[in-house]
Amino acid sequence: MAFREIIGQEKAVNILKGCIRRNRIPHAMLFAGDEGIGKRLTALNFAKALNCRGTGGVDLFFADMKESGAPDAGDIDACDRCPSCTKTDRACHPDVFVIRPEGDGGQITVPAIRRLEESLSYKPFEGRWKVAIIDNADRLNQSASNAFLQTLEEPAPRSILILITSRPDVMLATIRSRCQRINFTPLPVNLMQELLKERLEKSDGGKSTLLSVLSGGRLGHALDESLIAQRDRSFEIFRKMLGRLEEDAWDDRDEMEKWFDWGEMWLRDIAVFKATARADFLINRDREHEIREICRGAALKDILKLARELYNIKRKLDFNLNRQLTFNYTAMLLKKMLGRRNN
Amino acid sequence: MPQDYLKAWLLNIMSYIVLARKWRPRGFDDLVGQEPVARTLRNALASEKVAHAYLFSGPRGVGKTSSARILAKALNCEQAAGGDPCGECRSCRAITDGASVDVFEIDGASNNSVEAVRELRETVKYAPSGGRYRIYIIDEVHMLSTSAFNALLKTLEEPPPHVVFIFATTEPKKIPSTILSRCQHYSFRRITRAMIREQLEKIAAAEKIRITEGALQMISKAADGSMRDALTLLDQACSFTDDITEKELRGLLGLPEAEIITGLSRNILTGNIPDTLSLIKELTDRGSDLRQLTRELVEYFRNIAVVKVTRNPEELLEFSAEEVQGLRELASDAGIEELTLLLSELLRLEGEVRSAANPRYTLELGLLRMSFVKGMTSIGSILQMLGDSGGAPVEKKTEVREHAEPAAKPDIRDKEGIWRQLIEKVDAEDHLLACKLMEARPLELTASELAIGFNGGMTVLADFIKSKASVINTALQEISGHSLRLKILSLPGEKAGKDNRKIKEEVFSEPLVREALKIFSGSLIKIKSLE
Repeated sequence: MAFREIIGQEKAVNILKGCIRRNRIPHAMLFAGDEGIGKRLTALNFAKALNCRGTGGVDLFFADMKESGAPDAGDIDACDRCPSCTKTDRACHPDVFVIRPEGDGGQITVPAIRRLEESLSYKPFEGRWKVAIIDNADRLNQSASNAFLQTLEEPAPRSILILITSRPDVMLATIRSRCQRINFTPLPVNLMQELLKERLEKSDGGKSTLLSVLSGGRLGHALDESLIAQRDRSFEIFRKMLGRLEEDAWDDRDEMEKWFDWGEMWLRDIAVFKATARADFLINRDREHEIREICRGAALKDILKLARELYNIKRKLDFNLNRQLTFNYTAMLLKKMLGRRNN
Repeated sequence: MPQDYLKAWLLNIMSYIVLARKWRPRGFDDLVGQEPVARTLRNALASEKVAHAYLFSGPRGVGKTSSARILAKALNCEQAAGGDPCGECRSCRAITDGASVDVFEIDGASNNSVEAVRELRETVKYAPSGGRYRIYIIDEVHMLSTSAFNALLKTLEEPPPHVVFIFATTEPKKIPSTILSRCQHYSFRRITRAMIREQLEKIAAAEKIRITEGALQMISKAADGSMRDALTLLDQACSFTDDITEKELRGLLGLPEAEIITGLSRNILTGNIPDTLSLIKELTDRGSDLRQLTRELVEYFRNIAVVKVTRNPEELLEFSAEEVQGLRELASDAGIEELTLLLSELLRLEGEVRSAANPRYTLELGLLRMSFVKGMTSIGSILQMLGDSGGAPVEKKTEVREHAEPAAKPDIRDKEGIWRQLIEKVDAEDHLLACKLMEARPLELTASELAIGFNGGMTVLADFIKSKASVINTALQEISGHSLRLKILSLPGEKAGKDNRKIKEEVFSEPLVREALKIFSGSLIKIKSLE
């Protein structure tokens, strides 16, 4: 992999290339954007490009001696062949550190940060830069965040800290203000469609369209084979709830939590269809018939009220709600709000 | 080629330093937007009234740590003039390089234990080796543990004469009051937009960065009161492009174009659902950041509200007359009650969207919800309507249009069939009700009524069924295709006669009464007969 193979993040990649080209590499960066759109990949490739020793890469050591002067943006990329690039790929480059949440709480703790600070305090072993990638940086716990502040502001020379997060808003403002923020955006739908068509080859165009919309522009999600199956199952449960089923249909906690996200999508479709009666606004266009059916029995006001109720339940899921009770309550709400007409 | 090698070597070792570090204030004069603090400190230094403990608090990136370093330099400077450090003497240079033996900069978050504080106390008693003071700067001091704070209390109250403590924190609330009362507390303020802009302009000129006026404004706004944020943004912008313009910056910050926000706001204010939805669809298709969009939308509506209630919004909003004119146009159609409602709904939505798994669904549901606000009538206009004697209240027909699906109309004339279907239908919604209905049997079917009756003792169920009349009537309507009511008759053997409940039922079935109940969303409490 190299920069040229990263899909749909031209803006971010161009900023990074610009940093390299102008030799203005900030010591701390924050890669922010939804889950599954290529932040980690970009960070690793940035590390590769910085330390690449091949001809294709940026070689600041010799760049200035070339006749042409500074290399232009097109040139800056990892060669993907030199020892440095291969080592980074195999996660054994001595100057590239990746930290991710570990342990029971799934947090990044002070000891991890201390270890990182220590390794950063040495000179680079073989590369030009020491690159530390902190994945899921929003999982830095309170004390770790604070312990990290000084390093983040004034790290040892020739080190670069890359923080990756899908929830930048939950991080400390003091951390955010010390980093250069690089925003990653979801992929445009038509680009996704093309990509998916290539990958799915045999399957029809309808599926790729559905997947690209369903995944919300997150390629990582769209490549998940089971996405459509998951969606179908969620709708099945949704309809079971409207029926007479009393027994909890979720397999486990995880599914329950996910279902509420799916439920929001279904309600969105139902509400949108109710308000506009236009099928082209639907996410699940293939389920138009069923959605129309549900719409008939419900008032828009109730659908929206229900959406808010589901949101409230979803927020309480963290408090260890009983699954069976949650199911019954949700089913009851669904029946109450969607089962009646204008009342 | 030795020269070339030298050049390459230099390039390699000269690490680029970000603007925020390069332009750290070096003297009290460089501190932007903290004049009161700078003046107080400078006067204290000039009159040699130095306290032994200082606490600097304020939001991120306003100059706390920088001030602490300046103060440390000024205290130990060999040739200080009027409270300002010279920046050139041995001591000043040592502090700048972080090599001074008398100035300790401690990261409070990493050294937050009692042990760390005890070690610090051990060193406090030694006299300074070069300068006049031993200075301890503790950054992020709010992270010290309670016991660490307490271990510090004694030393902090009566330190040796050559010791000065400087604490810096973003969260003064987390500091025990016993510590607070032993320090001179300086609150650093957020830096105003104008000041940030001015400083940015200065730095841009010195760094030879080409930047447009609009882009400067945009950075100073996005910095949200923090100089470091502003410089970080400027830094990023210049590593991205040579000429920084508003357009480039919008892309960099992930901000939507101004026209999109205006268009969306107009759609929301006019209650145009299809256009709103297609706009969101278009944005999603392009891969825009909807969370950022929501944030911008909140601000825009706030601006509309401000324009609505103030006479000279230009002063409050720092906007051009043209932009204000645009806002005013949008504001003219909406009442202030409506705007407030929309704004509060949006604020709530912003929080929801921020944490949503898929922001699009949440945003769209929220926007649909907001379209209801449009249909509300303000109390003011209701009072006005009531005041117009004789004038019939004009119904405000701005309700959200619902496209009712024409119900299929199977023309079933046999009562048994309808009854069976009704039970099935009700069963799907309310199992309990269906069970009760099964006890009854259909007696008569007319154009507008389906009469049922109960056997003997089962009449108690009738009350329950009546209370669920709405469910049944809806189901009946769907089955038969026209409005059909359920009537519960008493079977022979039951006491006939008009009891109160019966009258109530009759009154309730009166269309006029029902309409009245619906309009006022009231309920039937008492029935009085007109003799």
